Amino acid sequence: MNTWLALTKKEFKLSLPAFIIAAVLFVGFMVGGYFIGRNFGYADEVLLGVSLFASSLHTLLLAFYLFYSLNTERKRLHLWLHNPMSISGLLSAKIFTNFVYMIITFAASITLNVIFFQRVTDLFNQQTLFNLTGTLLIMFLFSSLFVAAVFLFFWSIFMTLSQKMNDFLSFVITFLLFVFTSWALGKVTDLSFYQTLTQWGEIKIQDMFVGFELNVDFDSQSASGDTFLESTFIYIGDIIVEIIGIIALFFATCWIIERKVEV
Amino acid sequence: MITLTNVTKKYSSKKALDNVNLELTVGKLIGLVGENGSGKSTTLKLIAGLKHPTKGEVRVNGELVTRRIADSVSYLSELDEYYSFFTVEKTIEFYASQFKDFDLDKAYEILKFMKLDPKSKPKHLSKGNRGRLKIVLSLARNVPVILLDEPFSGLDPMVRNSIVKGLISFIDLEKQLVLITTHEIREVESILDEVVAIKDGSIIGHHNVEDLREEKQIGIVDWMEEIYG
Repeated sequence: MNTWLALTKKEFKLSLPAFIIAAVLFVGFMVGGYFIGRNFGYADEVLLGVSLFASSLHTLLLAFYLFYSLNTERKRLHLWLHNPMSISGLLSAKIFTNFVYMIITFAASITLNVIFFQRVTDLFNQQTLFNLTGTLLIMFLFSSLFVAAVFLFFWSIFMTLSQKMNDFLSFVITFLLFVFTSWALGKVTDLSFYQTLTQWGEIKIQDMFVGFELNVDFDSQSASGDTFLESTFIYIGDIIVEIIGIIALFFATCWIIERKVEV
Repeated sequence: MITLTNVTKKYSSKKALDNVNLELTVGKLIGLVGENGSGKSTTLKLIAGLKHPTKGEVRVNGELVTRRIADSVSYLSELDEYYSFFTVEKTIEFYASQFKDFDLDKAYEILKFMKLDPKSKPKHLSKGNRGRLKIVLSLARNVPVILLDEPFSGLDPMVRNSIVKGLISFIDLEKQLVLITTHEIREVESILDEVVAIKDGSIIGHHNVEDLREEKQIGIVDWMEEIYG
């Protein structure tokens, strides 16, 4: 455990420049948003938009941090890989530290979302806002972990290929493999069999809204907001499959690095 | 003990090692010599588990080599790369945290011998001093196998000889096997027990240095000139 903690400490130092870049960009966006919004008299609205945009970018931030960390490590791969620790240990230290870095700016952006949302509108009550923020938080975190797991998997394939060919060709083949895999997975998730397998454990979106009623008029075809919200679900089955996907990709990455990546 | 059995290593179509068979025993300081691109570094990386053989197998003390052989193998790369945010002292502490056999007292003893400032950052050191730090990090481990890839490159010729001789005092030849690749053959000749010559990925000679001197009345350099033609 001490070995892993010492490694984690090193990872914090290694990824610090990437964190500083992200933090400066985040602050820069907010300050820029404030001045632009103030000029037009919509400071809160613009800042809400900017903080929402910043929150959504966090789905990619963990993958960016990992890219920075692994790319730095690539220049001295023997230092990283000449270690008795398993690849899962080495990678988990990277994921943990970069996840912590991501959480810092993510927490700030979510807090700003809530503050500016409340200043812009009183559409939702506290309970509804709390429910929506919680759901978005979990969805963003899962998405960022999933994107990071996908990135790590394809990075390990890129590293394997780059031993046999130049970086450009390795990148092109890895990218094509990514596009093909995404397309194939899209086909699989469209199958009714897959949907039967995953669409269970419904959570009604409607249940998140407390004391709120929405009426929508689509080109004179009236629809009740209740009907719209009643028919929208989050499935626990989907979440479980996503967790399994993240774990499977992580261990596949470990397997590839352990057996295929060379110094 | 290190054994390479029918080991071939290919990079695309080029063979870096071709059906190599080699057995190296504990308690010896062995030089692996050969021209650039002859397969010396590849051999060391295969033993360290940082490369995988295309064919054949590599064992260290009977254990099939994987990357995790790092537990019993100390590997010094030919590259002098370090984490830029660590000082010399912090680099040593980091290594000590990662390898349970790392001897901190020994590390500071070697550091003192190498006349390195613990507070300086490796990126601010000269090439020669970065090379010395590599030696500190690899020799401070109490492991059965130490692999040194060009440990003396970049070292000032004025001090190279004294450093080579000083190395001996930090190696436990009762328990350790040290395999060194080097071009500075004259400097290391006096400390080597065995010499292995490699050419185009094949082992072309493996001798006891003392036997070479006694039986053939020649040193390693003369022997190399003889076999390389």
